[in-house]
Amino acid sequence: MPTLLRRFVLSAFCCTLIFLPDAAELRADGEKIEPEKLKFFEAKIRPVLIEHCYECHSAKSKEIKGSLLVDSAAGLLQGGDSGPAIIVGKPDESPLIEALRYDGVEMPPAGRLPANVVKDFERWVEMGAPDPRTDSPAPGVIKPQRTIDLEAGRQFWAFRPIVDHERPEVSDKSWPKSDIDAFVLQKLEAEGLKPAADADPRTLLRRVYFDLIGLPPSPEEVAEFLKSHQNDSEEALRKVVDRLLESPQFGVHWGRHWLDVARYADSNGADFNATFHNAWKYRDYVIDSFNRDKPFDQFVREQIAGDLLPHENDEQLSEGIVATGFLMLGTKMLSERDKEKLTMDVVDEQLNTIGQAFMAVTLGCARCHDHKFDPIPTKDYYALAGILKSTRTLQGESQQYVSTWPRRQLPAEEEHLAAVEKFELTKKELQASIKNVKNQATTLGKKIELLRKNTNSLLVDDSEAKLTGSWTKSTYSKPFVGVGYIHDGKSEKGEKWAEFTVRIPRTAKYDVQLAYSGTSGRADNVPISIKHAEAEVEISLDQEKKAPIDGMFASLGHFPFDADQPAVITVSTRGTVGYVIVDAVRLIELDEKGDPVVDEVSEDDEILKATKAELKAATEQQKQLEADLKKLDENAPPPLPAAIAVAEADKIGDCEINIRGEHRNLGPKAPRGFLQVAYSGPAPTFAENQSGRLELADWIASPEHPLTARVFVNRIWHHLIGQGIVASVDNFGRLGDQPTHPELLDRLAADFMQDGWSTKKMVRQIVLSRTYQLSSQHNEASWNVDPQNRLLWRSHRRGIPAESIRDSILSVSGQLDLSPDGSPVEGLGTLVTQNVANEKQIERKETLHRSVYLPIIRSQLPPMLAVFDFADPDLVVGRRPVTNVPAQALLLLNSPFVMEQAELAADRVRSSVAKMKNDDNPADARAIIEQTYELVLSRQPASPEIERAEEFLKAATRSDDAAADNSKSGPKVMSALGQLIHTLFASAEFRMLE
Amino acid sequence: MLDLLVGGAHAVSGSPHLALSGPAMTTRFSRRDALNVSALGLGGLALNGLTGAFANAGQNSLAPQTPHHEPKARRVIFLFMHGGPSQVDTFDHKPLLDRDDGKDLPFEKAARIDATPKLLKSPWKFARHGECGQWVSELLPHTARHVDDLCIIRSMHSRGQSHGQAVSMLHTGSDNLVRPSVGAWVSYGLGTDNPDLPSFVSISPASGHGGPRNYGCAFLPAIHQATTVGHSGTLGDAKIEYLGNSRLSSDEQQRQIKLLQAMNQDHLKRLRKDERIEGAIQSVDLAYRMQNAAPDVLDIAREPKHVQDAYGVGKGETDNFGRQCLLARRLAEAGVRYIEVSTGNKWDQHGNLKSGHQQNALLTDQPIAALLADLKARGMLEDTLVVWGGEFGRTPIAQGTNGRDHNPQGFTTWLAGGGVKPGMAYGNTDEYGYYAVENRVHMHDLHSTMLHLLGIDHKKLTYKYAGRDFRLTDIYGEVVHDILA
Repeated sequence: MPTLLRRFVLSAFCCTLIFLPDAAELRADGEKIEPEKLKFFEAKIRPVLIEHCYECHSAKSKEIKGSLLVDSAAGLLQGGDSGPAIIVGKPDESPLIEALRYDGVEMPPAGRLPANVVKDFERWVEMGAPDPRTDSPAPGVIKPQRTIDLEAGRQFWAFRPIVDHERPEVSDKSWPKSDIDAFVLQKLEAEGLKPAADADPRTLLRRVYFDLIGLPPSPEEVAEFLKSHQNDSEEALRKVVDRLLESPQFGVHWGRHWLDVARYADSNGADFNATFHNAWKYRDYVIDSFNRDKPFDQFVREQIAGDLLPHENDEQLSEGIVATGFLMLGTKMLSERDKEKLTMDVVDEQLNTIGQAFMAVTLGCARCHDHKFDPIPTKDYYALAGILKSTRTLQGESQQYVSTWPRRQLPAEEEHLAAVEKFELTKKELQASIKNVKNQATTLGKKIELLRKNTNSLLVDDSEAKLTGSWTKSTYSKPFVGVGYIHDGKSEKGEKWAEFTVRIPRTAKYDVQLAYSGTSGRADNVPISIKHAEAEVEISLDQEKKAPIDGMFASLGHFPFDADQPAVITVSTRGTVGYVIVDAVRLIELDEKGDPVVDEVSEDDEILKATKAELKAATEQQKQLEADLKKLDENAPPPLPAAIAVAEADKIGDCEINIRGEHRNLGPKAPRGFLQVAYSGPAPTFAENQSGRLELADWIASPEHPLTARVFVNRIWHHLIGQGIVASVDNFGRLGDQPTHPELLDRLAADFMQDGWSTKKMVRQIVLSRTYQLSSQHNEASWNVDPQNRLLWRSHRRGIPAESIRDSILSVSGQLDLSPDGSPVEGLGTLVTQNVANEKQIERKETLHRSVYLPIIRSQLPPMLAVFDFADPDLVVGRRPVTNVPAQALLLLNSPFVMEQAELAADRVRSSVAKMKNDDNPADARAIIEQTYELVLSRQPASPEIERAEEFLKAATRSDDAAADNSKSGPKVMSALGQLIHTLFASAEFRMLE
Repeated sequence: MLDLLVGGAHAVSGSPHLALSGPAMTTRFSRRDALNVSALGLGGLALNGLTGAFANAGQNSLAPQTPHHEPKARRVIFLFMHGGPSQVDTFDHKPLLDRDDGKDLPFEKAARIDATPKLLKSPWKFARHGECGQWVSELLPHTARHVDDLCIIRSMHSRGQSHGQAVSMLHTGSDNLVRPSVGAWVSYGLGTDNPDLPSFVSISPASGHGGPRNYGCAFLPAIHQATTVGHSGTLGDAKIEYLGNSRLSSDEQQRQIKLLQAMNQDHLKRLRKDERIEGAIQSVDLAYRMQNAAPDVLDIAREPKHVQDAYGVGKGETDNFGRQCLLARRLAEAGVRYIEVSTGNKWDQHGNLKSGHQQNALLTDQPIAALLADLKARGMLEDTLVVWGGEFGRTPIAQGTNGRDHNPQGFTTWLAGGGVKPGMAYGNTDEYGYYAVENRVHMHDLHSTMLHLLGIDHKKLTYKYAGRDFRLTDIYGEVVHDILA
């Protein structure tokens, strides 16, 4: 029942063989094994193997786990997935022994074997692993190693070089407006399909607006377009497209597409939802890059290695550093205590993201074994992992066990740097002074207290003692006199002493006391000498014991002192072993009977008065300094700009292959490199002392790379056409979808690179094609042939993204703020959500800016976005899921935000109609309804729609009046027109592109 | 067999025919008319959860699915003791720990923890209970009375020395990567018995330690993520925005929805064929029905007083968790497939073990016992799997003078009902209750056993994503056959 090495293993489900060394020569031979060793094997080893291991690791096992057989000598030597199970003579290097010790791998899984059994196995391996079992593993029992054929892999369409295909011949030569159309028409004609009619201008304009900037056109823009469209439809469209491409809203909309892929978020999520205070700079970098039409190859380079790229000025350097935020934004288990594991998990997340975002390959599969479907060996995974492991993504801890990340300072003005430096220095000095004066006040306060309590008690703190040798200040053990105590650090014994001199006011007998914090680990024989009126004596004090008086003082004895002769008490470290603690010395005057003399407390006592004055001065000084500090803080220069960005790691080098993804089961090093299937040429070389990100970036952004351009133009196509040429936009592998138009995809990729990797040119090219401009009208005949519209016989109908739903509502109500917004998480602390019971939910920042500027807090996404299929920031999402759930209807119907905007839009319609009619109170319901449809849906209502809306307004107005009559129902009623607009906001048409 | 093995990408379109109502509730639910438990009561559901919680017009994948084998359990109630209750103070009796109190642990402690090596005996006395004679400490007197219904696994072990990893491991089978939660897998594998309710409800889940990730669907279709009620261990008043309208009267809203549906129907007619609009029309219908259904599954006040009293509702300490447990039963009865109840991160006694655990027991013990009794009385325990446990246990060695550190190396989880052997203990930790040593049950094993009881083969329940098949148990997991009835 217990099974040996189950965890070595892996069921056939997900595992293939990785390392299968050549079968070792059979070494065991019954004749040659010494009899007592044989006896040992038979008595101690064989029965254990049979009982605990054979179930899963013998030729008769139902399923051989981890490809390991332990029922023959050869099986053990040959080993399984993890290599040989035993290294003869070396128990510490034998995986079998490690597993039995439960060191990393735990075998047998049902429970650790007794320590003596494990010892037996160690001894057995040490003595040479004598093993008479000669059966060799039956042929076919262990699967042969699957090797990846890279040459064959390169023949898969996605890894073949990009070919710049010629425009194909088509029968209907008049239909295509562009080469794209020819490629599309060719496929349609081959299937006997005809493209749909062109979309009507209103539909087309709405489509173009949402696709390019994510917003609806205004009624004026619609009117203007319709006018110019009548004259020259193509010219009219070109003008609109060029204008929208130049609008800063283009970057807002297209930047958000990339942020989906970059799994952008303003917080970490996962176990410790730490705030990413500077992530928004990466967001703005992305928006800005699309607005400036940054060549995509440069965009790739910056995000992987922006900090290492050559730069001409500080601005470029800043941009490059911020861009590497791309590598930082993944969700991480920051509180993982095994930091080596965390590091490899972070590398894995980065590799997955790089793989899917730029190349649409699923690298994660190769972490544990060669990719089962794509030509990606594990070695390639670790070749890439070496680059990212040489990159610093984590740095330090925000609290015990919880990792945090590097904040990279960005270049700043000299003046700014100097101001911050000066500020910090002054602040540090002030803080030190405050601490100092506070300590002083505390000491003085205690002194006053003691003076009042017993004026005859003479106290000298350790701070007033004359010290010889080096003593360490401490406040660790409480209580203590003054602001702390000192200890000898258990070093240089005998060379350290502390001498206290106490002025004696009156000749008398005194109780001499030492203050110390007693506990185990202290010296139990501290020599203390006391020079009194008659002699000098030495006594020994046990500091392991707690001090008997108030837990602070121990009496050293009663001694006579003369008024003119100071008492000298010296604490030595001579002959001690443990810590010697010195806190204070106290002398208490005794009367004839040996009881403490208690004097009337006199506030006129000189020492008391002087001390009080000192305290007052110290307190005032403290107040002044604190005021200074406050003023300094108020006038602090702005903090130096910083970014969430990677840096080069301290240790640069290749990464060991983690066998089956286990970071503690290390194989040979994989030299840093790239995916072999997508790289030809000599092994890449890497700049010394650099991670290799620069070379990685160059490889991915190279025009030779078979995937990068294809993947990105496919993303553009997906957003504009509604379905990628490869529908699985993040997976171009064997399990992804096949391209519907492979030649077109290649042609677009080739054009893209020839046009300087320009996103805007590619968008323009596609939008100006006739294919893009088709109507989405249903056609039964075409539908029967191609129900999924894969060949594009019509335009795909699409929902508008969540952001556009919100932005359109604000746009219709006239409330939308088109300007950029700054940090969405300003004011949030280190953690967004505390890991405690009964915690409060955070207040989310409200804003009228475009939705891209809303806080994307992992685990607390804005509800409006979350409900409408926003991209899950924990994952790379090139294609958002499309759902249709009641929560969407509930939000639109009941959200106070939506209703409020509807009411504001109603005001807008009323005043616009009033202006048009030059009438303050237009009763023309028809005009109002027309204007409403124009504003909300960018179209004119049909007559039945007008009638129905009129009826609705009438009915709703009656209830308006009723509500007004019955003012108890509350002020927050909606006007009839507000209700109509609210209904339109909730309609399917409002959030749909035809 | 339905497409359990096929999975599929996020559906972009789907069936135009959606069963909007359908009397597909469990027979038990239908029989309990007297309770008047509505299928639609949802006051108090967090909207996020609703995102995918109801029949999706695009793909009605909450439809009941055929299990792989005859299920013993039809639903799960998971009582999550967040923070990690101590096994040696509850169910894992260790006389040697008493004897050697204050001495050093005679073997190595786990790496990367703060506890000293000094053994710390339990402040609570243990006694044998029930006919089965299993040990339970005096900390849990109410649960102790139900020990004959419990199957106590004393040899649990898991991954994750910190809460974040261990909580994630418990909920998703992964301590580091983003994966669907157990409830989402169960919903995906079995669908729901009641199309008007979510298949997966998480009551008062924590927002820390992964938050929604622990009840999320990751790459599974959104419909399988949990609907939440309350948060961070507190049920609160179970009210939520978006499920009622603050500005419109119900007449007004009814008129508005009539207009809305007429607009949508027009639109559909104009386009002739569009699954998206069909879906939108149906989801507006469903949304409105949900909102209007008055008698409410969530309305605990509908329970008779003696039932409320049994759960400790209305009584200071037990009120909150009592209401959570009672709600769990009502949801179970109404056909919800997977229900999680969370305490909030309360069981994390690095210090103040005595008062902390005492308080937590006070809050939860009676409600849990009442839940067991209630389920049993209704005949529901037979096919309801109740699971009690934390993300890990606690060390038998001391942290400070009166605390215990995290211990994924060995801890106790109990199961009840739903096809497990009652009145037994399975597996053992070492003589001090530190490491699981005998019949060890890994978290993956627990997951595969839970799925097995629900009629699902954990190796066959897969979903294709990012180039490969994923499953809850990754490549691990062995069903613990010895505890099956």
